[in-house]
Amino acid sequence: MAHDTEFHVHHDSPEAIGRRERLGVRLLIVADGAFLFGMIFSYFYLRNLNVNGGWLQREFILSALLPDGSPHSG
Amino acid sequence: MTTLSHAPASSRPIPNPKKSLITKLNMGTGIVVGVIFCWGTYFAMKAGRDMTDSHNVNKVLLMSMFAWSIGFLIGIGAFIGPFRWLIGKDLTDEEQLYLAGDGQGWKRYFKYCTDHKVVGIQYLVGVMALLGVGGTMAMMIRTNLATPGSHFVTPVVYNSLVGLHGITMIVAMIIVATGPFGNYIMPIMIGAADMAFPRLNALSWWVLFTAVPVLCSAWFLGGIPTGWTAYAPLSDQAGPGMNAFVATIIIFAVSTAVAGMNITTTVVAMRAKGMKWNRVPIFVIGATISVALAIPAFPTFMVAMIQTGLDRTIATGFYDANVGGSGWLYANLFWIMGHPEVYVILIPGVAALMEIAPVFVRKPLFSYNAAIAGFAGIAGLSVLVWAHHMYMAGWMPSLNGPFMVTTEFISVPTGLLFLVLIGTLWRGRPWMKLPMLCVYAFIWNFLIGGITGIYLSDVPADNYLHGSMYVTAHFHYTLMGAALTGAIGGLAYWFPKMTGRMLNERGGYISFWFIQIGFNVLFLGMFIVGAEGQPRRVADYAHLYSHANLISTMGAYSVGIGMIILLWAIVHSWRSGKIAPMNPWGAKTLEWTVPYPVPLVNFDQPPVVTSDPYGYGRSAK
Repeated sequence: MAHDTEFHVHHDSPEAIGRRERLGVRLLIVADGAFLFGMIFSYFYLRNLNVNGGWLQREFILSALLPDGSPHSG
Repeated sequence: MTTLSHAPASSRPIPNPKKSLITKLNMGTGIVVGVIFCWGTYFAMKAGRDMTDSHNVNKVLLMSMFAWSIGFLIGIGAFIGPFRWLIGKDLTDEEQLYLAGDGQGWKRYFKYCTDHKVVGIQYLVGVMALLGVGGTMAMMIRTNLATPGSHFVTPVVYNSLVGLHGITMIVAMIIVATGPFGNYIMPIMIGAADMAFPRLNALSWWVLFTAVPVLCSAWFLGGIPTGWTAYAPLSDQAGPGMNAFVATIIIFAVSTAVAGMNITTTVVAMRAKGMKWNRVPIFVIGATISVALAIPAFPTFMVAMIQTGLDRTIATGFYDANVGGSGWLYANLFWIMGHPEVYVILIPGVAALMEIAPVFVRKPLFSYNAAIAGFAGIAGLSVLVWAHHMYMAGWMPSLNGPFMVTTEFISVPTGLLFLVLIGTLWRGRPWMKLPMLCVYAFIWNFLIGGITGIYLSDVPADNYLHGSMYVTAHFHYTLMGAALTGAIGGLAYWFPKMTGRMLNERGGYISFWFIQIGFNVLFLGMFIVGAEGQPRRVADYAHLYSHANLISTMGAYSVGIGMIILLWAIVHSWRSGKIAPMNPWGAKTLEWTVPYPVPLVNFDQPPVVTSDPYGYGRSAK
């Protein structure tokens, strides 16, 4: 940090600055977490809805439930 | 952060680092660079693209809007500090003082200034401009609805008016109290020398500033036909104007996150010695809870808008059922933000009035702890009620019951806020100045807004009332009748500290009565036509509703006249009003212990707090 002789800016202690910066970053992480939550929610929500079979074909979902794993058995 | 410190103004040199680039940058250079970036991106992206394809048009427009925002921030010098730090040549002390606007007079309001008082005034003027634009659109809407037949504007223009009025007012109301008072007053109230992150403070304002022309560009791009909620898939299919909405929300969400983080950190980490949590002024508590609620809420709206943007530009289909998407996804993401946002708007306004009431009845705030419990309860429950906006959409009918319960339960902490205000007024001898009038107006308006909300939270009643003018009247009673009244009260109260002059009393009183009477005429009539079945967001209506609509429009004109008188009172008082004493209301919070103009570092000596701020009528403890 450069210092002038004519102009003086008081710098807070590194501990105080560190405390603030840690808290500020944690709050931004909360915001990022909410953003991530929105994306993850979107993925699982749409995947679970499976509108018009756009994510998994209905036959594959059925096949997972059937004993021999065949989409056409029965 | 650094605390700017200097000798008294008379004996110190004025910083003027002539060789530094920061002295040459201001709003003008920001606009020039922003426009160059915007048009450069526009023409570069347009070249070789088939502009008859709407996806290409959306790509070009969205990128041009973001380029404007980034270009403006570069042009005004927002990134000089981080850039200098990255290359190991951090700003000198003289440059930091210059950046804080030291000795620059009115020019600092047009610069990337780190002084929180300057940022507060920038927010105040910005909010008034946004309210003016949004209010003008409201007048146009009501003029169109004065008589049936939609004679004033076409239905398409009416749709855009409703949407743009909505989003403009929502943006304005989110910042209406935390912007001006949260930046100017709040750091002084807690005894801090500055905000925790002064450069980010300036960034939050100027990022928001860049969103305004983007939003206004919607007018020239065909408007937004979706209303302020921008429901999908309508927003996916809407014309080019919708890009302006998408870009505005994304830019605004960045500004909100930065501002929320900064205000919360300042309050948590920079309170004066002795200011324990139970000595923090209630406005500070309210503003902090409000912005802390916004920190997780707005990113989900940002996600919704990014997905809308992706659907519109590269056809991802998040909200397109043909390719596995769903409009309900948008509705969920939007209202997960949308309902907390109502309280982000409301809480600071209520908190400002709680700050005012003890001062003007000369009594301690009744049950400080109940006020905090009310704010915290509302904030906590607000994230559990979003689906009450979707009762009739068909999403998860089995969850209607639980969401009805959580929504109705939110009236309990809301009741605490009434309890605190009424308890404070009880047997007091009110000093009937404009801020105090706003307290009474708030109680009346919010009572109506709150009780009508209980009907809407009830699934069977909502089955009938949803989508009607009743809903419009309800949320205007909470957002305008309560939150804006709180903000006007806050402005009347802190005006002497922010401008050094008293707000013109006669103008204030006249505007108050025009606004409050007009407001109630406007929206009480709207409850009636809504309950009778008049739909909202529709340009025309049956003759059955014509008398009530005409009366509502007359109420709207009264509000408009009142707002113009208030604007005149503000401008006139600011220019040539009566000089304000240091503490005209005899209040006990710290902001009234500093002179006007407030020194760059706020306090000559760091204050020490020894009592709570509401010890009226009792000795300090």
